[in-house]
Amino acid sequence: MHIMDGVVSSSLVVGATIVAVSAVGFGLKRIEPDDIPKIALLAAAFFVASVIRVPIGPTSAHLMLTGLLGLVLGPAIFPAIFAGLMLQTFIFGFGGITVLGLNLVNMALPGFLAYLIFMPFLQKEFQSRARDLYASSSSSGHKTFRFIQKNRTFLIGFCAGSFAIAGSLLMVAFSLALSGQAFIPVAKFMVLANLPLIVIEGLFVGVILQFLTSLKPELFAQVNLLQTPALQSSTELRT
Amino acid sequence: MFLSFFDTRFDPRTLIFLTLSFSVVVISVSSFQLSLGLFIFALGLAVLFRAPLVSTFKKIMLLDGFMILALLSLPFTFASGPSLLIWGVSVYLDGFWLAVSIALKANSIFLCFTALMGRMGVAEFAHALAHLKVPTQFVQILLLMVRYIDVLRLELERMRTAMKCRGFQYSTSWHCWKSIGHLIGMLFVRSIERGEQILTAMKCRGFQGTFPLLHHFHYGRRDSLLILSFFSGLLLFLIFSSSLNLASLMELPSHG
Amino acid sequence: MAEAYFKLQDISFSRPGFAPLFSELNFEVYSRETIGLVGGNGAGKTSLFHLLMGLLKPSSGEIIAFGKTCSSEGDFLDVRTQAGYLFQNSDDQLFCPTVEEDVSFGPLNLGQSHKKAIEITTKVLSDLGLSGFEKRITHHLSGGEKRLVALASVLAMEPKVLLLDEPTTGLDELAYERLTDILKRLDISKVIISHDETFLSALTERTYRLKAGQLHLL
Ligand SMILES: Nc1ncnc2c1ncn2[C@@H]1O[C@H](COP(=O)(O)OP(=O)(O)OP(=O)(O)O)[C@@H](O)[C@H]1O
Ligand SMILES: [Mg+2]
Repeated sequence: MHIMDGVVSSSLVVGATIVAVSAVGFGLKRIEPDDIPKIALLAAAFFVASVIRVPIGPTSAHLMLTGLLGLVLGPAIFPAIFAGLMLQTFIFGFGGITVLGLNLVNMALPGFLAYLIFMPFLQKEFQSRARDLYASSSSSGHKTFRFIQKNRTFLIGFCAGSFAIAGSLLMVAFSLALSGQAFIPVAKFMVLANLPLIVIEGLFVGVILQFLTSLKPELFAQVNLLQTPALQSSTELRT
Repeated sequence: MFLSFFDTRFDPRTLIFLTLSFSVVVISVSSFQLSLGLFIFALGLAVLFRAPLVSTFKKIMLLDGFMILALLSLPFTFASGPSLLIWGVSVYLDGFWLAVSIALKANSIFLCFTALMGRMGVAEFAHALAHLKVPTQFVQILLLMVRYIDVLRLELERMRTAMKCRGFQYSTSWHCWKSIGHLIGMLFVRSIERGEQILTAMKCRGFQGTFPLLHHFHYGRRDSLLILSFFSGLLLFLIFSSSLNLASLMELPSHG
Repeated sequence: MAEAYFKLQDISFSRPGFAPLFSELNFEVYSRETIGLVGGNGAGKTSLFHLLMGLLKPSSGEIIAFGKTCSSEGDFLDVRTQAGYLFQNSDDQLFCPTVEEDVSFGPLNLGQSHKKAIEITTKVLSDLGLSGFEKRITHHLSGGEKRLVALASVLAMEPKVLLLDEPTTGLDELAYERLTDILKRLDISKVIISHDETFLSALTERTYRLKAGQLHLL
């Protein structure tokens, strides 16, 4: 869902670039030096994971996972995705140079919004669930109770994932539509063709979030919304 | 003598600056003949800088499949202006020329990028960014990503191999999807842990929150010469192509 | 006469740009035998397992597995369900959140029902003395425990042959004893890569040394 060079009008390019630069600056301000390796490695992992194809009937799809990236990185999602897009452009010449800012906004902003909206739910979920979901089989929670607990995290992930990709789809379509009458049919087609992807992204972000919360709960515990979650855990260690 | 000038090493900052300027010019131009002129200019750059043209065009074909599809569909969906009836399908000229002009623009930028920056290593690029006053934190993220992408890719490959050994096959089923989800989750967990290890290792070697930069670049006379000739050439091309009157030849709409 | 599970005939293999790793190598694995495999670091022991599993393709020679000549990826799909490969590094092998999910991954791939897969898992885990580990997070286990869980995940597929790549590294004495014991009791073919001579002599009938692309019987 990258927009390429030459499609969108230059005023949109200028506007999006300004927004993108301020967003990246905003994200960088909220990063501590100690978090940089973690953020870079996560960004690299997303880059690597984007080659995985999910089989869907006779075709297959790539995942974006920006909703998940938002939940994991918070404001740092902007520099992380920007670095990823830059590398993509640099290494593969893929993605466009002038539209770098626009593509960043279209991808990262919904991810960040997903973080702002759904992180509080995840926090609540953390407070209410017994500390380790999978850890000890001896923990005597009722089976159905545990089942619901387990799926609440999944549900939060599902919503965040679907929300982020739906947001990206709409923003890409909107960018196209803003660039001229000519692109409106294409934009409509794009939204329709990608509708199933909204559900699929949701399912995957749900599964992965569940996975991450059970293996690395400290990533999500106790987050001050406008700070990088990773940062929070390392300060915890330091004190 | 003249050609060997383009083989010398320029300051990466110069090359980045020129690529960006050219891209901005390309997208702000709205008439078809100017786009064509710029495309020819970029082609000339690629020849002068001996960019590998064949592999460049292969790369261009790999551009986002969806966008190519969108371009191809424009002549049929953008119902405006005169149309031709080809095999019972009406093809709109406005849409057609719009698609051609977008393709020209995208390819000009890509050609210019390959010509000027194609031989630059990623690390060099990142360092140049730092010297262009991009925040070092961002540059550090970029550098660490470059360093570890391959490590993570191999890790993913090994895990996929192990799954294959246990009879895993891709299919449209919940079991398969869930397994892929776990695979990705595992990749993230490992990347996070590796990030923690890197931090520890950095601290053991005296890291205190600032990243020193090793590369330093030298802006020289040849850079000024390149910038000067680049912009004069660009100007000449723009003036020359705007004096051409192509529009009457093919009933051009100017878009923008 | 014992049935031949694997037959490698005149196998040569080299990675592009590297010196040949194997030249005209012959190797056979019969039912119910245990074979040891030793060799220096980088001799190609792991690569040999990869050839057996079809993860690498020989440049020449023939691989006959379970009575069938195997060359394409499709041929090896069957082999992978009948041969259980324990990786040198368990972290590469285990990727699910819980032990239970990891162990049942194989049976589910074989098309078992969910219920049956859980049954198998419970049984295999208790065979390996890992009862109660079902809900534990695999990633948080110790190195030795991961080893055993990885073994469980391989055994859950009820393989005819086990390919074990340095199964004893990182195990403490107790786990070591337990592993020796478990392997002794298992009545299937095994090929064991190890640098540990006592371990090999306790289990194997013959041992080969891999050297200069050839196998030498010790
Ligand atoms: N993916 C690869 N690409 C290139 N060379 C490789 C690759 N994997 C292994 N090799 C090389 O092939 C040779 C054999 O490797 P292999 O892993 O089979 O050795 P090994 O006998 O299992 O060693 P060890 O005892 O250290 O586990 C080594 O020289 C190694 O460097
Ligand atoms: Mg090995």
